[in-house]
Amino acid sequence: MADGSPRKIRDDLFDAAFLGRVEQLALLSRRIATSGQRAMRRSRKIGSGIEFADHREYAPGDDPRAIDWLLYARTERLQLRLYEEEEDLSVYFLLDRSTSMTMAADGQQSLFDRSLQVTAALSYISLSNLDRVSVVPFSEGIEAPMRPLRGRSQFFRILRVLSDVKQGGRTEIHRSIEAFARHQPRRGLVVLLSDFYDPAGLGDSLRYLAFRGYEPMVLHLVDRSLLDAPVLGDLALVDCETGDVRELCLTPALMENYRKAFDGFTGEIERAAREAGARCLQVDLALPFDEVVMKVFRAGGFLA
Amino acid sequence: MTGLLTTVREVLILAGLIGLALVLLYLLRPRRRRVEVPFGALWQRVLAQSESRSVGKHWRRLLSLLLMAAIAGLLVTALADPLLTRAVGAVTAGSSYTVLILDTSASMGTRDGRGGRLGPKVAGTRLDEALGAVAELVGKAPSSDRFLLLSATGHVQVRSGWGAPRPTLLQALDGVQTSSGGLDLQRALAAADQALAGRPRTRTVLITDGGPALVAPAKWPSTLQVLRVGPSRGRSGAKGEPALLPQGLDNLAVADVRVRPAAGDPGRGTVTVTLRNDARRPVQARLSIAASDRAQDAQQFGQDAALRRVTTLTVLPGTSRQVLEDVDLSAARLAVRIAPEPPPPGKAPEFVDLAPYDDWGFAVLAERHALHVLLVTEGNLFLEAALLASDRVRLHAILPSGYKPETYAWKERVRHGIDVVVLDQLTQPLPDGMPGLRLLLHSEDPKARYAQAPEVVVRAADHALMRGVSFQDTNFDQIRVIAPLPGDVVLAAALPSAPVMVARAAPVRTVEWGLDLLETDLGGRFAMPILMDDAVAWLAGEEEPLLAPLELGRPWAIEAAGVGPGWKHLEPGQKEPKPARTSAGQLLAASETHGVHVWLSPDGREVARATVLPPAESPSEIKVLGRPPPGVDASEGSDPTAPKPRWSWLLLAATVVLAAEFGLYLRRRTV
Repeated sequence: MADGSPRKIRDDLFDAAFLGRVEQLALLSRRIATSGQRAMRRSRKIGSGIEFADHREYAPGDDPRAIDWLLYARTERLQLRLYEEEEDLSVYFLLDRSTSMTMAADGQQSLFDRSLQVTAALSYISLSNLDRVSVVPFSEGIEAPMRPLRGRSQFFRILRVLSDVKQGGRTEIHRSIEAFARHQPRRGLVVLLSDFYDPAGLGDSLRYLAFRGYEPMVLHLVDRSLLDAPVLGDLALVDCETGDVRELCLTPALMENYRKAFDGFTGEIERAAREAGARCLQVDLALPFDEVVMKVFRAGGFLA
Repeated sequence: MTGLLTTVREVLILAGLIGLALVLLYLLRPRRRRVEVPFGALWQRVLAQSESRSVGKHWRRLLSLLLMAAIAGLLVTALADPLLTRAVGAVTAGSSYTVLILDTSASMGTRDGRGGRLGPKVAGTRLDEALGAVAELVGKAPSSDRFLLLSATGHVQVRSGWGAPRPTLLQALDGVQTSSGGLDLQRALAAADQALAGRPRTRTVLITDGGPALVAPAKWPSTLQVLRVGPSRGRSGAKGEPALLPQGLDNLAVADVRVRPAAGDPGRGTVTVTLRNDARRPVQARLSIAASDRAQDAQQFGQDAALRRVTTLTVLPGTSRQVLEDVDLSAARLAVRIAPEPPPPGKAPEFVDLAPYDDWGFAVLAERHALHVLLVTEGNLFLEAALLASDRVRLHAILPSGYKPETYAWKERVRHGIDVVVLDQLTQPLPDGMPGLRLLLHSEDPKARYAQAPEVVVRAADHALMRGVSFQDTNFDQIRVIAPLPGDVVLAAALPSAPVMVARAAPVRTVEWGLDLLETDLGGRFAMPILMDDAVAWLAGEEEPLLAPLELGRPWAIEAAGVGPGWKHLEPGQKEPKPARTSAGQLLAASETHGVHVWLSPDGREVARATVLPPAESPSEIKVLGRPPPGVDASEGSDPTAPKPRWSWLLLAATVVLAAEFGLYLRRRTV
């Protein structure tokens, strides 16, 4: 994905009201961050920062400037002063752009559009916190990943990138995540926004991310309006991604079974996230995007 | 073939109609509305759960199982229907009228197996087995059943009538014996059909070892069942050619007897016997030839005839030929017998002939009629002497000046009584329509070619006229080269290729020699009288010494001079002759007694003919009955043109139900 060329921002999603609401969310996020949740997410790394962390024995090859001479005067042992390294957080938004995400009931927003708005809002908050932000759309794989952006001034570039994401393809999460891990070696928070309609499931993908040192976060986008059958009777159901056709006679009882199955499916997503140590939020399309963002804040783990 | 095509056409039409209906149904089927869903796998999961949970599914599966069972039942019933029909037919035949045709042809006298030390002994013949089958069939039948017992060979004989009680019928079986004739199945079936005419619930049962291979007879009974005995038991012989028994059969047979009198000596000759060994191993055997002027059957030849030759030989498996030369042919009737070599005293035989009826062969030599020969010559004594040397030639010699062709024409033969004309150095033509021999060296044809002091060789040694003749060391001063016409046979030629002697068979037998006996030493050679005797016999149409044998079981018509009322027929084994049937100057007869049959004229003349067994009566062959005509429910096989049996419709119904069930299955699978 090229991110340097000027592109048009989608007005239907990212209008002035949206931007104003995002600004409010950013302010709200700072308030939440200072209330003591900071340490929940940030991991520390010993390095060359300014805040003292510990001592350790000198070894040949170490920088002699780091030797604590005062401690040597007291103990006659060469010890090095260690400082806590302040590392920029990388936040990756893995955005599902498969065909299933584009489906919507008549006159309603699609999951894809809603995921764009949520991603934009969370990106703005991350940029405001000087985190590195990268948006990675995926379906059967990922395109060339964009360079991580930092600073609030990059927000409009993020919006342009989001406006330019092409929709389509089948959902293959594991393959996409493997490709992502190859291209983005820097560890960080990985926010997965998808309906997770992948026959292969989600568990392996989340475990893989955790194994590679990423911190996965699952935003399961659901559209419950699709759980109400538009018509009953003899139907040929066509999978929008694979084109497979299943013929059936759709009855209310069968529709009820489908709802139950869907609930079981969402339960599977949550269970998979829990097993991988990831946070999982179910994002209903019926919720406005700002409530979704707030829900993310409340769940913790996102705000620095 | 036409029936087969008709059936194929019907099947194709039916298949086409069914296919059309299926296509129409497919086109008219209700279209399902297509709805796009985000995740089809979830629906698949729902369907799977729904199917396994639904109680109704169990009932529908049960229904499906019942339908499948019904289909299986239909299929089994359809496939078993022919057998059931037969079984039911056998049961319901209890109150029917049944004609039992018992094959008593020669091959039914065979004992199957491998006798002697090499195999188990077989107690009875095929006829014994057939009689047992008849007794069993009659014994199991309800008492209300009526049976008519016929024995059939070349003719049909009623052994037990409709009204005969069971004991009488079974008693009649005791008197049944085999004959030497073959089975005329068509005649037997016609007789059965006549006997069953107008009766309810009729059936014809043929008990046979296979019978001769027949094409479909003109008229078959409405129902026919075949009980096979012997090696063809349990075989379906309706299709294919007759086959030999795979394990062979210990049997030696005389298949054919040929006699050729020696050239110039009709009292002696060569006997060629064709032998058949049905076993699969060589057999030491004894071949004996007996000759007699009076004996007629094997018994008489064994007792009265002079034994001419006994030869011990090894008969190889299959058909082989034995040539016995210099046999005394002074008696006109010959009998040849083949028998296995007797074992040494105290030892069991290794080979027991299981079909003794074909061990004998008979032959009758043709009568040597006196032949009247007209010789037209200027006084050629060589020629005259050669003709006089023959015991059958009655010579009439005249000078060329007295020869007028029209006088000796064929139409004047009753008046002049000449059989053959011989012209010596005459350019005049042979009499119209008369067979003749022309010797002519100098032709009037200016284009005629001649050869000086040629070397003449025989070109057609197999021709009846040149048997035993050689021109080796025979001198010819000069010959005329004959230009043969198409169809002529060059008997002898001067080297390299100049025809000297030519025989012409049509329109009248003629022989032309391009030589003069005064310019060759052929006249003084030993070959000359042989040559003239054979030439006269060939020209008169009496070159074959052996009269054609009569096939047993078939009607005979024998041509003989002076046939009329008062003739009598003396069969072999009979002491007194019976009046012979005659018609249009021919002797008519039909017999199944193997041997020499004799017809006696009122004035004491006799006509003798030997018989031969029907070739189809070989005991080692598994024979077929041929294809029954349409509509016949024969157990020998089905006819493609016959109306379709019930089971085929059952099969069709089962297939349709199967297709319907499959459709239902597909329908249910989607919910």
